[in-house]
Amino acid sequence: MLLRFSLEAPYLMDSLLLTLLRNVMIGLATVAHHPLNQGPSVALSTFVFVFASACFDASITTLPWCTALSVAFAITSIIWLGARYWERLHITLTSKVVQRKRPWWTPALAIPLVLPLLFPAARGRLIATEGWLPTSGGGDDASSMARDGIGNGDLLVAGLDNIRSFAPIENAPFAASHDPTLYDVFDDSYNENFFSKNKRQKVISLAPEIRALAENHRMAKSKKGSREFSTVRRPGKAKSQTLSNIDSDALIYVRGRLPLHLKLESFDIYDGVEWSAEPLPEKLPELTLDTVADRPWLRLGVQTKPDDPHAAPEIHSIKVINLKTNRVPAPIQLTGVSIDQLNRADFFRWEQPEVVGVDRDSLPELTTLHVQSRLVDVRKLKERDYSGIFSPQQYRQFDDGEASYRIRRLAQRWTFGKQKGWEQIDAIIKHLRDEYTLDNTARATGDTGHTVSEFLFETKRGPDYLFATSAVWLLRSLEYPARFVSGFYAKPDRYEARTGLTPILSEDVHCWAEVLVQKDYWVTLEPSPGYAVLLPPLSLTERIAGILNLAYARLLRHPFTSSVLMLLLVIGFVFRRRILDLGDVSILRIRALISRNYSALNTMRTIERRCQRVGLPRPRGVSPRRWLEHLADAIHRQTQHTQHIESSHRHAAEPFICSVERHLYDPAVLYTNDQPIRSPCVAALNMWSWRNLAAIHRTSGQITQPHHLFPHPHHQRDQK
Amino acid sequence: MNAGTKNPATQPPSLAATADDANGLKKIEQIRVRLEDALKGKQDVIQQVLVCLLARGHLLLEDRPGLGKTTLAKALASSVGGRFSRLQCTPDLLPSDITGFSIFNAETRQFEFRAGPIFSEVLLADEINRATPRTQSALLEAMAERQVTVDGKQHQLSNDFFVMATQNPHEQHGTYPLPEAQLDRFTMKLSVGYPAADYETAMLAASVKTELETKESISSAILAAGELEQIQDLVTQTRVGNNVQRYLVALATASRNHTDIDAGLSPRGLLLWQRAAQATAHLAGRDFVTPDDVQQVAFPVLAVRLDVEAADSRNLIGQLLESVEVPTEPTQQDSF
Repeated sequence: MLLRFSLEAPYLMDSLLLTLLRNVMIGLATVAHHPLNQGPSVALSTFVFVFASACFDASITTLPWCTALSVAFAITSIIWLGARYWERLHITLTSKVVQRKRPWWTPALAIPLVLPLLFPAARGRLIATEGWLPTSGGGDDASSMARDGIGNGDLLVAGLDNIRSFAPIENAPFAASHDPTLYDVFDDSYNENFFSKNKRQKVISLAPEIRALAENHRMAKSKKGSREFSTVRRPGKAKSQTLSNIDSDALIYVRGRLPLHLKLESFDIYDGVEWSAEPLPEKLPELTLDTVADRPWLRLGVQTKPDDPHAAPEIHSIKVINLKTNRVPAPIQLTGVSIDQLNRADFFRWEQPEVVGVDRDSLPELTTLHVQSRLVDVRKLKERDYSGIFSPQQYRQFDDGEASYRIRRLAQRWTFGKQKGWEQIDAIIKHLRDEYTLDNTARATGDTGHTVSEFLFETKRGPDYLFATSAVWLLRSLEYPARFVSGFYAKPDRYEARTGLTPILSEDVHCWAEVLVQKDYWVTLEPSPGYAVLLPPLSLTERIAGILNLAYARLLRHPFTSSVLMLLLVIGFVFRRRILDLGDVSILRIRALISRNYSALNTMRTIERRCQRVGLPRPRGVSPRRWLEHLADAIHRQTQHTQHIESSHRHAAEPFICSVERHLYDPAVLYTNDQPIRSPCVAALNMWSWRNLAAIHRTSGQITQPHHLFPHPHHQRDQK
Repeated sequence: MNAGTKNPATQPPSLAATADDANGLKKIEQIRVRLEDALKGKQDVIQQVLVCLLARGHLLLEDRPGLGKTTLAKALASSVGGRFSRLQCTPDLLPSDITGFSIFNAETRQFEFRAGPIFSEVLLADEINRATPRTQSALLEAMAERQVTVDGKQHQLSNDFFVMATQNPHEQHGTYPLPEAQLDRFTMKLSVGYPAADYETAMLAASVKTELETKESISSAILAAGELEQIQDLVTQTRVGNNVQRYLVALATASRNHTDIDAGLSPRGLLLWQRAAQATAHLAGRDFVTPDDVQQVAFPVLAVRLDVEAADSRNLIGQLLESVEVPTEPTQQDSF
């Protein structure tokens, strides 16, 4: 809860917890070499891995081995944890168990947990649970961070691959609505004759159980993203409450990667002023239905070839709110459309090439569509493309007028030295974006009789449709087949993190161009500055490269800060071990301050870690006493002290080493009180200081040697 | 620093809880001084001899003749206040020559038992590998059980019974090498070796004495009757943490898994090793065992058990000690 408030972000509680656990797991993994951290690290990683795998919807996954992997990982981890626990299990005799007394104030820890539960509940809800599992609704309050809502809360649930509305099926609650729907319930209780024959549209019948659900609930329409109505109402004082419709400004809501161009209509013939819509060709691919994971999909008869330059198919979800059209707004290269329960292909029809619509006047409000498309990966296109001359005539329509002649000359100038194909196309678009100004208020006068010419040579500013028209005309002048397209543009800026949806408003109507490459593939072109085209998903390598490029660009933008940061990073890296050692010693001192006594074992471990960082790790077969004395002798030789000082430094070290030995190996130490040992520990830290150890490491090359050549402890050497 | 003196600054604080402990340690130091006087320049050997004595073990000395083994044994016997016997093993030595025999007394008309040299506190069995296996068995059985059976009657040996057996590794003619099972009864195997030149000179100087001094230097006992047993009991009470015990077991396991060792350490050997480590800790004035104590006696304890050449055994034991991690986690509560 504190984290959410401090972040001031609408992160869900379980998401925050899971992220926190994940970060703790990663942190533990970095220190998992220590035996004490291995158990918690494995346990936590098992939980996070299994929980994340369970949340992942296997029905749409393309990685079926994920489930098997998560099960195998879970089993292995559990076996390891069990074996480790068994190994450490001790049977202790009751008489020898040390009864450690808990501090007297231990019960006070429970007070913050118990006290809130004793307070009277406000409006029937306990204060203790409020904020832990936020809900939206149930009363007058609503939490903006609710995952699931009940009642009339503001935040409703966003679906995952389904954009859920507020009913058991995606688009069900039309029982209380008189608007035309895709669904109808064939039941005598409804007035079937409400719709006149003229107005009667195609509907699809629902299964009886879904019909029953629709009958039992009154549902209001909500045009805002993701509203859910709970069927569980808390008993309370009766309130007369009318369900109100929640309006939205959006025409549609989109879920999926952005930015996105959603095509509604394409145009092929231009007379210098106006574009004419593309007619339907005589021969069109057959629309067929397919069922994938219990969902009906309309297939658009797209043929795939072995060397297709396409990226992997991806799905976007669209919810129609206030859009009056029967066309399915879809990205380019549409391959499939799905509407829940709509399992008949004759509900759809072709409206234009690659534009499909429902066989009705318009798509009903709150219809949820899923559209599958494939982007062309321009990097996979052939270097040179001469296929334009083989494309349909209308896409190469061009005139021989003076204006067009000037436009052709311009296009040739822009593409001078570029290879025929994508290189030339890209050059055209780049020039338009760089050299012309997007101005939605500017309008072509039409005086010249050729608005493109006016735009390109005179005004050099205009709305998006002039950019699109110019792009098409310039490309056609070089014999590239292109067309003009209108539809919607889903802006990344409008993305709502809370719902995971992007609303498309009326001002998001947009025009752009499309070009036909390699005879078969249409590619979206965005000549208007400020707009972008959706690129194929990046591979891991590309993402990493992108991040590095971004970092590099940012570095160049802030040279001073970057330099200071780099310098600090370099210094931090070069002296990382020393910095870690300072941190280690600070932690030791803080712990000593808290417990009011130094711990010989912790001090020894700090010194051992210091030795390791300096490059003098203790050999595994050498005891701490032997190792520390060996280092002390080396330090002594290094500093060339007299024998008198040799004895004194041993004096300082000996109590510390004896205490370490006692704590490590004497079973009776558990039954004795700790003696103050501050001075010996501090003396030890000074004796085996970083400086002394680093000096040994620099000068001595024989610090490690075979075990039998290792000097014995001092008290054993005196026996010789 | 003089040989044989310890720098108190380097000694771990003595944790002898009682006056008896302190008194015992003091007397052991006196024994050490006497032994060092008898065998100059061999403090490490004397240390191990004392460890073996306090651990109630028996010692195998593998060395050439004339290095002071008998002198050492005699000095030890006189220190502990016991009888000293020397047994020269030859191929014609019979078991009864060691254990004793019954003889018919014509006057009393009864058989009387005549105790053999084994009924002494310190027995030096010279060139044990020259005795026949049968005779070896009789001696080694007595070492293990601390009793002998003659004519069906059991005779207990001294509680302080301590055997120092010797063998010459360079003389193989006419010998019967001790089998593994018999070697395992010895706690340690040591090699005295030649003393350094300075010590040899000192030894020569010390040998020039009057007869009176010679008698006085040998006759007085340091330990009273039963005192050695008390000290040995104290040694068995020296605490061994379970992390050190696990360390011992890990070393034993490593010895069994080593590719160059045919038969690793047996459980009996492991027990003897722990006892020797306890004795080492006690001599150091500590009431608990550390891994250093274990390592200090590793070579002599393992050398008697590893069936390898002496030169190889040093390397092998070093490898074993290097391969096993010294415990650095605190000992847990007692489990049993």
